[in-house]
Amino acid sequence: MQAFDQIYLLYRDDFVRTARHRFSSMPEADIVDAWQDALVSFFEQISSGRLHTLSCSIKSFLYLIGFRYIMKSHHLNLKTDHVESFSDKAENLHFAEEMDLMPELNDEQILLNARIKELPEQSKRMLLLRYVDGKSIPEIAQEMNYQSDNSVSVTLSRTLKKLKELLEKDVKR
Amino acid sequence: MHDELIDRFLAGELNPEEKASFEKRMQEDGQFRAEVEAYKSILNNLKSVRNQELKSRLIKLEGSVPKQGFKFGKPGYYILFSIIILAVSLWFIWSRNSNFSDSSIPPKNMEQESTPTIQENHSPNAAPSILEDTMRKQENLKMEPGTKNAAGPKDPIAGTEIEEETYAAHFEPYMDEDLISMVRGEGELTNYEKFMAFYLKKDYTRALKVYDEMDESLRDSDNVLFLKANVLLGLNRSGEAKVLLKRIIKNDQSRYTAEAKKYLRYCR
Repeated sequence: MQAFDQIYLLYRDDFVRTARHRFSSMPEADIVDAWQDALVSFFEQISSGRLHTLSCSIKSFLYLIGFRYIMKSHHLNLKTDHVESFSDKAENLHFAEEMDLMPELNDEQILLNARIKELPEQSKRMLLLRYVDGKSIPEIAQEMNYQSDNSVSVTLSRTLKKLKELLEKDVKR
Repeated sequence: MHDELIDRFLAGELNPEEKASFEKRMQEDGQFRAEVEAYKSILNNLKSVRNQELKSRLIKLEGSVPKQGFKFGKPGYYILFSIIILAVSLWFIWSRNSNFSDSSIPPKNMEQESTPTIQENHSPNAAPSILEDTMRKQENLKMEPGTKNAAGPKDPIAGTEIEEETYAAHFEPYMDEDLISMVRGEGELTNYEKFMAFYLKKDYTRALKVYDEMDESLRDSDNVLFLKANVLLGLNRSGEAKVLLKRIIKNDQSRYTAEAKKYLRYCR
């Protein structure tokens, strides 16, 4: 995660400057927000296995995603070829231009996320390892120092049930 | 076996035959299907939880970035240039007019007129119970001198320049006389009183914890939910606060409905 932080800080100021130049009326807070979203999306693409190698520079890749977030947040539909504006033309830039941006969450999802965040840290981490990172039960048991695979399965099952109950309660309210 | 099968299905670990059999069962058994669908919707959200965690990390990191002083960009120079031109023009007009001014005209009374204030009606019998006064609207509340205004913070959209500022700079939790009187401080405090005490101390983390331990009937009260929304705003969890505030406004059963509309503006 330190590398993640370093990349964020390394290009942050330059991204803000470049984005200000391109989108002159854009408040800096919105530009920073877009830069953060770009980093998160980049990380998501890597951890999901959709992005294995990068044939262009990280900077170009991130800038392109960042510009897309700025345009999305301000409902700018200018159909410009982003890739053309980068000297670093590569296949990955087209990937960055086409990839799905993070969607806005609806009310139900916000509540559900809050419930997930309220879970004990261990249970939450286990859920993420299993269903987001796609780890097997034995891998999780090893990584989280559980003595048996069965304890992991039971914890997962209990956590899911608890979340389901809470969700049902929230919906009824 | 049942749970293990569901877990393997959700993790995408079933082989084609197992998957076919699982899907067949879902088609035939409505209760089973509903259970699996509920789990699926939970898992779909997990990815966004991971993303939010990352984003929170970056927001924290952003706090460590030294803020640069004001730098003039192109628009900055235009504004500065316009101000100088305007100032010179005004000075020129003023200096010309002053040559023709009549010194016998007495100066205007510079004493500042007092700003009229709105006095709200006092309700001496304001019930402290958060449940009993659900339908009592906020208009009749009156504040003691020195107590924070019942309306809480400044209206965040009152001025155009204010709109530009961040919500965090403006947020002040809702406070009124009734709330303060609810914590008596004698004997052992109920969970609700503890919640109020933490709320008034602005210890939002502990307030939220105690909220979860409160009686369900209290937790579901729109009045208490309004305070919870304030707690969430205090914790920078405006998304969740927004959901609660919208619900309170929609139900229109709370004494804080008008306030909820105001606080909704704090939610991004």
